[in-house]
Amino acid sequence: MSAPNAKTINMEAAGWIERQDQVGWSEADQALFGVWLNQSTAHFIAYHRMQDTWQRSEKLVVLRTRTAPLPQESRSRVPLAFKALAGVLAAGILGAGVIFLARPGERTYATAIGERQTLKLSDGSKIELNTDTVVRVAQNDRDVVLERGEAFFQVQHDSKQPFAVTVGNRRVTDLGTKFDIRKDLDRVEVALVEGRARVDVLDAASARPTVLTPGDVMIAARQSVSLAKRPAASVADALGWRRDVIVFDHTSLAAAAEEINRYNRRKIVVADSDAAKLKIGGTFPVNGTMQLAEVARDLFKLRVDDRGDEIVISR
Amino acid sequence: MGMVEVTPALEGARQQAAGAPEAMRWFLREVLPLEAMLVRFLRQNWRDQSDIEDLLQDVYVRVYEAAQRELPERARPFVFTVARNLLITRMRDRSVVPIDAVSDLDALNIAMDLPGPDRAAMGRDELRRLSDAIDRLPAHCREVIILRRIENFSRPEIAVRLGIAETTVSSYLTEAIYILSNLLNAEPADPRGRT
Repeated sequence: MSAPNAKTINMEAAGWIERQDQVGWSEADQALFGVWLNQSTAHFIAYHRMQDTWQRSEKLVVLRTRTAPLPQESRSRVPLAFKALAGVLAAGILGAGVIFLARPGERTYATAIGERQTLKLSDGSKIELNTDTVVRVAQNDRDVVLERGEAFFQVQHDSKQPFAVTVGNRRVTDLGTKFDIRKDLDRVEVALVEGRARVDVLDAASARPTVLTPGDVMIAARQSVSLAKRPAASVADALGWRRDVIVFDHTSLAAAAEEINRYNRRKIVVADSDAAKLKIGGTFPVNGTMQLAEVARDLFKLRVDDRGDEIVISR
Repeated sequence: MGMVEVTPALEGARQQAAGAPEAMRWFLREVLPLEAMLVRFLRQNWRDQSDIEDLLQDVYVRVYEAAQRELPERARPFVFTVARNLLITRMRDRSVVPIDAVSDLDALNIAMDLPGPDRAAMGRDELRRLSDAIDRLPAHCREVIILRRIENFSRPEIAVRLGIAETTVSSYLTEAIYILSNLLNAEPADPRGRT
């Protein structure tokens, strides 16, 4: 048999697949690869056979097993006075307490759908903006308004000049902290990762502030405010977007589709109400729309119709 | 004043087999799922087992080059005829074994008339096959492929987690892909393909 042998060629092919999976594949790499690929039919076949393996392994995401036990959400109701305000806040009515509307020197940062950005502030604090997000940062770099979307804050604590984020009619003040705030249409979620933070209701003098400690997740929806304690693994999963992934864990197909749609212009539509309730798990890249649709199709024997702008899942 | 650091856009869509020539799409769809059966055929009919990977490659090259000229009507009989002819040629070259030592294709119970495996209908079988293959990887390969493919960590993140160099992560991944390709194709891709 002639040299080089098949194992050498197959290993080279696997090496190309591995390099193509790395960030920073250059034109020079592409040129080298092209030369190798066209050197012989054996190379060409070996490469496509390896690529087939690599693509098949994409489905492995659904096999993810948690390292921590499933999240036990211990929901505790928040004091009554607090709760009464929930309607006001979720309706997005801005009270007089909101002070930094278009102040001079203020900067606005926005991310497009699917984009992620990190802002580094003068004091060393960092704000990571998730998909489709708008924040305004005051000139002093210590007052931020989250207009829309989701952001992760890593704050350099300074007790003389506290760092505060306003979201809807609530203000989250850092007490030495890493936290995530997400603002959807009718819901605000604050998750505390490290340190402590205080949440004040801006337009209600009577409401007592809430202090969040690690693992605390405050959810203010249209009619309710709740405070839940989540295990660290669950909080970390929710922050998967910071490394461009979304983690699903017993998530309904409808909720999974909605979540991945945040990151993509091409939307998944789950057209069947029974299919929408099927539960899915796994770690998906934020741009893995088609991957999610294919996994759903293969796991649950559903139909997937690619209609360009929309991917329709039905039975 | 703040500084903005923009995270580079996610890598573009991976190269899909859809962009490959028609003969390659046919090869991946019709021939690759026969690999388990083909390897078994080669093993049964060739004494030196260390030659199998090379023989397999030769069969693939012959099949593919023929398909580039014209796609065979039915993959299975074509592939095994090529394999048989190749073995006969090799044996003649080495003058080691009489020609009739190569199993008769009919005797091999290769169901020539069955339709080819249908990958679209695999679903859960495919997942079981994948997870079995992962289980059978050497530990260092299993570790990196799980972190990369299941947990979706980047190479630098994997390197930090495992306390190894990024280049080591890459070489483990390469090895994992290579072994995985043999494991995944070593099982029939469809229950109908089992003998």
